[in-house]
Amino acid sequence: MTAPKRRYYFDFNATTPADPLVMERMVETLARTYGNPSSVHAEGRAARAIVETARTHVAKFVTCAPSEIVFEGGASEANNHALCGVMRMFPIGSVFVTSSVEHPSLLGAARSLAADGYRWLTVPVNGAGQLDLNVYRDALVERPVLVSVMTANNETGTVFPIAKLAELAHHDGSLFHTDAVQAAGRIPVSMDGLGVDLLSLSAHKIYGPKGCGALCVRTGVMLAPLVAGGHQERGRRAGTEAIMNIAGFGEACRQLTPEQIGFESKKVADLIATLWQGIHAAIPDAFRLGDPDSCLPNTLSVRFALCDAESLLFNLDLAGVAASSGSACTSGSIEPSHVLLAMGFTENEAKEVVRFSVGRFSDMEDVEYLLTILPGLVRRTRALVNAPWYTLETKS
Amino acid sequence: MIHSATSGSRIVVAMSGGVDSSTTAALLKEGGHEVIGLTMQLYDHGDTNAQQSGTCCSLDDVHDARRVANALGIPHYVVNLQDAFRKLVVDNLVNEYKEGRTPNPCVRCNEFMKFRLLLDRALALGADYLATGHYAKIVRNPATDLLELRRATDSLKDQSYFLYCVDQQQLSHLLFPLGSMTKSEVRTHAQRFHLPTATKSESQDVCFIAGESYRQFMERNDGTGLPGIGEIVSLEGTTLGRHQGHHRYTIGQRKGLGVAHNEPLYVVGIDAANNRVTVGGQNDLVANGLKAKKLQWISGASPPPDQLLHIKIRYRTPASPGYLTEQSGRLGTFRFIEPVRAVTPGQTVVVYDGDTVLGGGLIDGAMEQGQNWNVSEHHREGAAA
Repeated sequence: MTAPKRRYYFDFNATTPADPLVMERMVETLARTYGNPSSVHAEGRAARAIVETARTHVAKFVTCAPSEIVFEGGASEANNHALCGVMRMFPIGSVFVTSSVEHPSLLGAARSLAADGYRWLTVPVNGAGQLDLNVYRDALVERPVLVSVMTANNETGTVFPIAKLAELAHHDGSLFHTDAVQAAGRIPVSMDGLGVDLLSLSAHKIYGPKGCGALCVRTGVMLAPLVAGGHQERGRRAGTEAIMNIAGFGEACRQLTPEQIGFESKKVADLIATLWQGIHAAIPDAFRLGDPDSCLPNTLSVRFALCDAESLLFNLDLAGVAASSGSACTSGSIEPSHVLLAMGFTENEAKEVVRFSVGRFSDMEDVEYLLTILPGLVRRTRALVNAPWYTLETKS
Repeated sequence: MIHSATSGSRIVVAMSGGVDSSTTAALLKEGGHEVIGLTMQLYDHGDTNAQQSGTCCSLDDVHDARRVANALGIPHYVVNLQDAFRKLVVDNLVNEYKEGRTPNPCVRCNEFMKFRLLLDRALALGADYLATGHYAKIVRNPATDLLELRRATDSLKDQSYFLYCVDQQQLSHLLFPLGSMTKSEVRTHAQRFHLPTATKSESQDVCFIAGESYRQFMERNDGTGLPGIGEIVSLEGTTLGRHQGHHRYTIGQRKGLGVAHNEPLYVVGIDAANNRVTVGGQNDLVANGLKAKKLQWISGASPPPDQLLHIKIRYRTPASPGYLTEQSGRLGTFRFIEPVRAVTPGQTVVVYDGDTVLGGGLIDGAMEQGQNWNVSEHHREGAAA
């Protein structure tokens, strides 16, 4: 068995490599600009200019005013800020609504609010990962202060009808937040188009740096800070701005014009179509998850029945391919995905699902390589499941 | 001839984060093999406070294994086997105690977790072998062409007792590269490789319940199904006192009985059905033989009744000479040449021929216990120790 010559990256939904122009902008910022954006002197003004230029790029990317952008230390923080920042402006006992398949950062914030005495209603999804609209309407009757539904799911790629959901929520007087981390850059995402009040973004899913994100907040929405003790970001997030990251984030957004998004989404859609056709031809019982009518163009989530996804991922990695499954727990082992469980998969079925996600730097050579090795690796991994002890292990 | 890998093999090393498995990985890498590290996650690190150091597979140990793999430049993965571990090892431990037996979870962990589930995973990764840092040797006997399990060179570290439950098929895919080394040689290698774990202390006790007793572990995990207050009785049937649940006792136990008597008393029997613990003098503890179940033999064949065997009924007790006088299916009867002390149901009986492990099983019960009143001085000393 010889080591693979190069790596084949199929995990753009986990994180993206930085774009070369982003890197250039970041290195340049680190090298030249060391002032504190809050300082009055020339060094401070230079730093301030970088932050504000980046802010205009981010604002343009999601069609809002620059003053509506709050830079955060990543999208997990933005999600926490959206939920807790809004709810803490309202009395204990107030209601909020989320879907059952939100990112762990949003569900974690929801749990902490519920522990504090706020009422948390969750809306379930069906087998394709789509929201149950009847339950959603019922939840709105409870007069929630805030509704939060992600634009697209990171694991299945299912895209939610946010414009419609937001309209229904507004009709009942609720605020609406969407975690657009996974959708941004893959499909058109805008505050206007979706009609939302708050929107979370991450830099490192759109070829920017890790540790940087934004919460876009419509003017007039009251938001308590998560981090207190500074005037930065209009008093909504204390702390000296991470100007290198922000510069990179701004550059990443600047590149993602509607034309560029259209071009990239067409390209990744072709790659995913070829990949899925190839998988389906070679492994006829492979099952594609998610909503075929409303899915991110770059995401392919597949269940190989009786194939332990954990071992398949290790096999893929050893062969040079990076893909993913479920979510990593503290020790780094893989736990069954809460998203798949919410879609009605059993724990064992959820342990058979692998996600392939492509992006800007993917090409047909990647797909062809994956298609040459995948059937053999699935076969080899399935031999494990046929071992009598796997049955014993998974028998409940 | 020591069983070893042909060069360039793909070998999965079971990495616990300790010095032994770290050195195993380093030696195999140095030997030119394609080495992959796997660490088993056996319990949920998120919701236990079991972060004690000195235990195997704690979160710190997972980090250590990862650091070693990174230093060696080998791929490393954590495999989530916590459901299987709970069902196959932890639940079994609790059930055995409930039924009045004293189980050996380390044997069971090797049998199921390492030599079945982990070995299966290694083979599913296209590996030719699974290597562990156990101290034991695998040798091919040229006369029979069979693989044999032998005691380690370092008699103080020898772990062959815990490894008896393997067959030829499993042995052909297993490697124990440390079997011919002493612990100090292993430490020297670890320092030579600059392993982050070179100076780590030995893991102690049973990994998942370090820091508390079996009793505390069971009561914390499964307080409802455990036996309650019961009687402590003499062999004649006289009630001598009360106990807090028979699961707190094992055969040969002297401490914690809370019964005043003119001579030392030992647990000589546990009657789970009646939640009764029987006590007696040290002479009542010795037995002439034992009945075993779930016997398995590494060669596939059981030894003939006239073959002198060395029978180990506990890890830290030397083997006693004796014979396998009867076997029917996986049940068998062993008879010792000299009586042995504290035959404990649930413990592992491992059968040696000199340094070679022939096989073993679980102790089902003592034979002719307390009937041999002419106990030699040797055994009296053993009992008093």
